[in-house]
Amino acid sequence: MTKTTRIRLLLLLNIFAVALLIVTTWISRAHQPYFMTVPRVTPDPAALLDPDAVSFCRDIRAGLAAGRYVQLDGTAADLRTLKEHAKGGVEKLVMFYVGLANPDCGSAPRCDDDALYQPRLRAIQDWLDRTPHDITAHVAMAQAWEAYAWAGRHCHKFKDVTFDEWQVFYDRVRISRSYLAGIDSAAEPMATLLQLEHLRDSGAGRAEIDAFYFASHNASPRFLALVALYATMLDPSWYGKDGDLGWLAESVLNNPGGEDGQIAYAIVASTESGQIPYPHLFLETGLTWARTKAGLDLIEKRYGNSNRDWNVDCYMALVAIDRPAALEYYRHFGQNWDPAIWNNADYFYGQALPWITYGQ
Amino acid sequence: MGNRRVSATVGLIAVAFPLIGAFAADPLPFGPETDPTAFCQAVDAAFERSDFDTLDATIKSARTLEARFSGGQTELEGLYRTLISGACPGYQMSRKDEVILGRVKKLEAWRARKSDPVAPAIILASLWDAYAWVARGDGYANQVPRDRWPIFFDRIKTASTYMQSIDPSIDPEAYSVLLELARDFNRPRAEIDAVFNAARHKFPTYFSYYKDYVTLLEPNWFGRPGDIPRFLQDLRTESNGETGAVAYAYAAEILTFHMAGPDVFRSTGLDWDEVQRTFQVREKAYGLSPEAWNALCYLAVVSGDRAKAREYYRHAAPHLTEWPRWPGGTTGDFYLRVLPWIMARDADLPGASDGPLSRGSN
Repeated sequence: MTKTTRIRLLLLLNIFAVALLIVTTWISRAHQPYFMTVPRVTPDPAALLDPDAVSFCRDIRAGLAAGRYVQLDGTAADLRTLKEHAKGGVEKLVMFYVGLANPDCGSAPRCDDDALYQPRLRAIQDWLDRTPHDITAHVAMAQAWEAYAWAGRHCHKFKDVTFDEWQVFYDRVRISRSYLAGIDSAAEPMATLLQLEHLRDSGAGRAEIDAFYFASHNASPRFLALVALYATMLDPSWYGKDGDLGWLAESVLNNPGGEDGQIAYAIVASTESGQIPYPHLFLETGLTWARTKAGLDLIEKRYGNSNRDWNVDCYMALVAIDRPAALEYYRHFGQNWDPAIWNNADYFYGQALPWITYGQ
Repeated sequence: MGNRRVSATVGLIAVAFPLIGAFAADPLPFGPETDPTAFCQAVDAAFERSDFDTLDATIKSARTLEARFSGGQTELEGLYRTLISGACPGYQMSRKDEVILGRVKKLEAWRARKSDPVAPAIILASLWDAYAWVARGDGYANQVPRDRWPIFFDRIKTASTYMQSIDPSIDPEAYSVLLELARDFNRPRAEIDAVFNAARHKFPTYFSYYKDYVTLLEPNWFGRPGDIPRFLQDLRTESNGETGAVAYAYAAEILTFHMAGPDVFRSTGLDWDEVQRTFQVREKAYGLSPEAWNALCYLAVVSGDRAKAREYYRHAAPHLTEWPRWPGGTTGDFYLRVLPWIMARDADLPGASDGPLSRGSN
């Protein structure tokens, strides 16, 4: 074999080796499980929210800052019909008051620093100073003091709250209650919500809370935030006993019934999905995944979903061991996973995602 | 060189005669700030490594009843609770046969040494009694399956054999075990009273007697109408002085947990003013445990005394690392119904006039 032939042979061998490497890499990538190809990212909290809701929140806060009180009153009056909903189904009336009271336009209350609420209290106080009998301003102040009360106990569960934090909490709840004195809750659904919270926070018994809920629900059977709030009170860590959540969810299938009832059913499950420890949501509460899913589909169709909503739906599908549904929901939010739902990146990327995308 | 030789000789003697080591053993450290859990763990560790010399020395020292935990429990009670149950505060005694019988075996080895005349026998008696209750279960007598009773009686009989040759005046815990056995053998009331009176006479500041005895005076045990009020009245007589007052507070604490309800004062004969006075005496002398503050807080709530309830809860709150043990109800009842009332400053809350635990409140 001549030297030239040897060189040619070596060259050919090299080319073959490189080609083999490329082909094997391609094959191995093509057969790598999907979850292994997903890069870990830290989610952007803003991407979880409904952009329209954030924009709405900013508008009303700007209105408050600029003293456009008549305009705010007009907005509240329109929203009191409860016909306007944001993505996920929440009534815009609730978003209106929460937006005025919360330190920022994130959807969750701030528990880390109650001083953040003080500028909000001052801004609403300016409104009240100008129009002392304005119902909207009174309700906004009641909402702000209620949120401020919870921030005062750092949103802790019972056993972690100190004596002094309890005193702060109850004192602020008392002030919140005082702003609703004389307000006709029939004319202002948000006052109904706050009154139910006040009953819970002021030592009312279960019977009293039930009676208040039923009267309010009968008056406004499609008020989803009311159903959601009552559902939290039926959580076993509050007033609830086994089966109460399922019973509530079944009751809304009859009143308001129809598609509205199916939506309310899903709202009960969604609200409790973060409270009932895994995997008990559909095992011991009386809630069923089939009915929940039907309601979720209707919510999405009627109101649309934010990424946070898709996260919640995906988690519930996982709990219900419905992989196709979980995969479908996951595809909507993709990399915008919600740490509030999935706890941490290790759980989401290491356990949830491999299960959700199994076979992909 | 001479010193070394002496040391070597002493060392040889010590190896050859382990008894010398026993004389040298120190009791486990104990002081007013001793944490009950840490002490329990130290006692349990000594038992696990069969360090009976240390346990003997600790029991001997604790029998003076001078050493107490903050809250009033004596070191001796703490020792015995650990050695009987093998469980530290916050945990339950194991109900498994192999665990209990393993403990019995080790206690028998300790008893065979005869290094302490009564302690291992007291522990064995109490452990067999507890083992009897494992077989019986904690339900009412009419709920106990028939085949459980023979096991129960066999075990309490075994327990009693350990107490037969014991002079109870040596060790305060012996009377507690005798009271337990009198209860379980369903002895006549006069006999129970005699054991309690002897115990109280010999060791008046071993306050668990008062809790145990007043429990036996409850209607579901041996009590007749008026027994508890009469007993409480006796404790508060002037001749019983500070010890009587502290005993009253101990009895009140256990009664509050056992007979909680809107009628707790009427059904027990407890007097709110006297409760406050005696708990104050007890606190000054020994401090109060979180359970005692809870009981006091409960009685304040039943009395509709919001200011006192708030004061007592303030004392209990820093110690509530877990859910509070709340008389007659769940912790949920406390946080959802009672605490809002305690912390309220206005008069328009539910049940504000007479408290959330008054009759008729939902």
